[in-house]
Amino acid sequence: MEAVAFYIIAAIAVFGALLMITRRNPLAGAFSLVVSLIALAGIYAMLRAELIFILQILVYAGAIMVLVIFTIMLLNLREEELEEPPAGKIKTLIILAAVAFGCYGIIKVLSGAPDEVPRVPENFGSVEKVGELMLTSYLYPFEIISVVLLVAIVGVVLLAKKVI
Amino acid sequence: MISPPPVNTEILNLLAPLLVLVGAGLLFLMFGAFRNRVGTFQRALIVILYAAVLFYVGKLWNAEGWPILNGMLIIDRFSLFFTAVVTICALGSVLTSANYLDRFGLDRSEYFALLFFATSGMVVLVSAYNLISLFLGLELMSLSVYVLVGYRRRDFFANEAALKYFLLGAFAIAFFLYGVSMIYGLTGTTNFKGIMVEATSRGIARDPLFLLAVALILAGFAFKISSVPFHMWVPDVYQGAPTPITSLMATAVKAASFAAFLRLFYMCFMMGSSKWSGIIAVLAVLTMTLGNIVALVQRNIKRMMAYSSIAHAGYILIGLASLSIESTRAASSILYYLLAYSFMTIGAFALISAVEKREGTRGLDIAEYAGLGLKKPFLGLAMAVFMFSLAGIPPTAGFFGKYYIFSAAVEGGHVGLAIIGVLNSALSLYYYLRVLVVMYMQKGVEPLDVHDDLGVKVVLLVSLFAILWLGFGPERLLPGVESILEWTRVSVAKIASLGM
Repeated sequence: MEAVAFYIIAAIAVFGALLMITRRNPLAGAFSLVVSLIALAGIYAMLRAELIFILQILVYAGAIMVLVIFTIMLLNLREEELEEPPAGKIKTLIILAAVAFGCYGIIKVLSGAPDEVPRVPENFGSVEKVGELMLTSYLYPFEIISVVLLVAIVGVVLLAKKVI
Repeated sequence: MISPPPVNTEILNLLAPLLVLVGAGLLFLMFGAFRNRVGTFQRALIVILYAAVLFYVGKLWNAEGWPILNGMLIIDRFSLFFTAVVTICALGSVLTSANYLDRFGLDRSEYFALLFFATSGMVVLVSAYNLISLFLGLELMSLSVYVLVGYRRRDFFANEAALKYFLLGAFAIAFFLYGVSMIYGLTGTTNFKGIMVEATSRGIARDPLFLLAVALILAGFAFKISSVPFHMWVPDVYQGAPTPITSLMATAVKAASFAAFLRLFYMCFMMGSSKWSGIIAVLAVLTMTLGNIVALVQRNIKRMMAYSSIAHAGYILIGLASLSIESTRAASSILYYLLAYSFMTIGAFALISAVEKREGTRGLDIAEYAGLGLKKPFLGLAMAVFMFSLAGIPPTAGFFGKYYIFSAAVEGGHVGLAIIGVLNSALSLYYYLRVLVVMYMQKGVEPLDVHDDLGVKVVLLVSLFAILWLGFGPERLLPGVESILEWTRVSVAKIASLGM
């Protein structure tokens, strides 16, 4: 049951991503991306990673996509400026991806590698648990991320300024 | 309920180099709020702060190196060695920056704040003991450097360089992260030690997914160390960036990435299989051969140095390909090589930045160095030593670096690699010596206009001294060659013993 749900959601995600790179109109591409991102959120939900699920919807499918669409509208592209999608290239890409996937499956079957995966602890991915981990085990990465974000903000201001 | 990791004075002591760097970055952001230009006082302060980092490295050198803060990072001799290397490189970049920024009208305190943040990112990177902290170190370093590359905003080449570096860098980091996520899926941990234990105990190392993950991580690192086939960005980015930042990218960024690369592969992915050795050996051969051959035809000195830095990454990859658990020789030779390479490259770029001009021909063509050797004897001599050292001519540090790497390769059974390395160094002689020929034997047409202020002179003098000292410095006053080699050995000894 879980596996069926996973394959359906995964198919939607891949389909959305595929549409995104094949659409000629950037706006249609952006909306296809939303489909893919929401499907991804579904996979997070299946993994019981509540916090990531909410963040995926709010931040990626919500805030970031609004920014993307905003940018596309600001660019104000006309019909004749759009490039034809390179159909041949996309076909090749799809075939290559299928081949790679097939090779991986064959190697996996032939090598007989262990299929068991490590178990996750109880409450894994809940808001409470993630918050707790962030300020205990992952204190150091948490502090470093704050510096990374600061650098990103300073960098953007610096590069966007009128005069140096 | 898990209790937070204890943060006591002992741990704060261990974190001192990092805290000084981050604090310095914040301080210089604050300066920027009050005053645009960077005065003599601030410049002195930058040098003092970097010196403080070196002081702490010296103080911590004998500390027990155990993973701290829940195994997120480790302050051992290996990380301290590389902290010192990147600090020296950053200091070299700062000292050449002062005059350069003045001339190009770019003198702002954010520049130095970002330099501090980039250095702290490198310190996070070299002391990482967990894939998460490794990734964050990589990001902190890269983000700061992306901005610094595009710092000359009015310049077309700088814009091109920053955009190229940012997009390709983001792409490479995505490869790396994809690999990391697979490793986490397979082993359930991101801790180096945990990965090592899991990979050896449950036969995960044979899983094709594991191989794919390591290959993706390898691709991420190969981008950062500018190895073929991920080298396309190097010449354009090195050319477009402000010269002191090019110097930082060719030395500190490369050294820090190599350090993380070495620790991760030595600890986690090298065990008992020569698969990765073979792949890295192929990369090494391609990297040095392509770097050297394309460097032969370069007219622009920054582009020539870019290809030369690709070639040097190739030599260092020989060392990585010869890594073995039984002997630390290959690993310690990499440390020595990076130290030696950093000094000669910092020196060469300091000189390039002094000759560079804002207008007209820009002073970057090798032909514009005509007559420099005789008109400015000290600069000429310094450049000659840097070029000899880069080409690997005795008795300079460059020669000994190559000697140690090649002999480690021979010891590890990679005789073919060593031979290709030697042939490549012979090839590189042509383009390094061409600079000297132009400098000494051709008459300059235009009057030379060299801006060698105190900072540049100090960098030249120190690098010149270090290159000769690393070659045959005796044990007096300063630690001589023997101690430096001993440092490189003890730095890697612990990683090798953990990797068993």
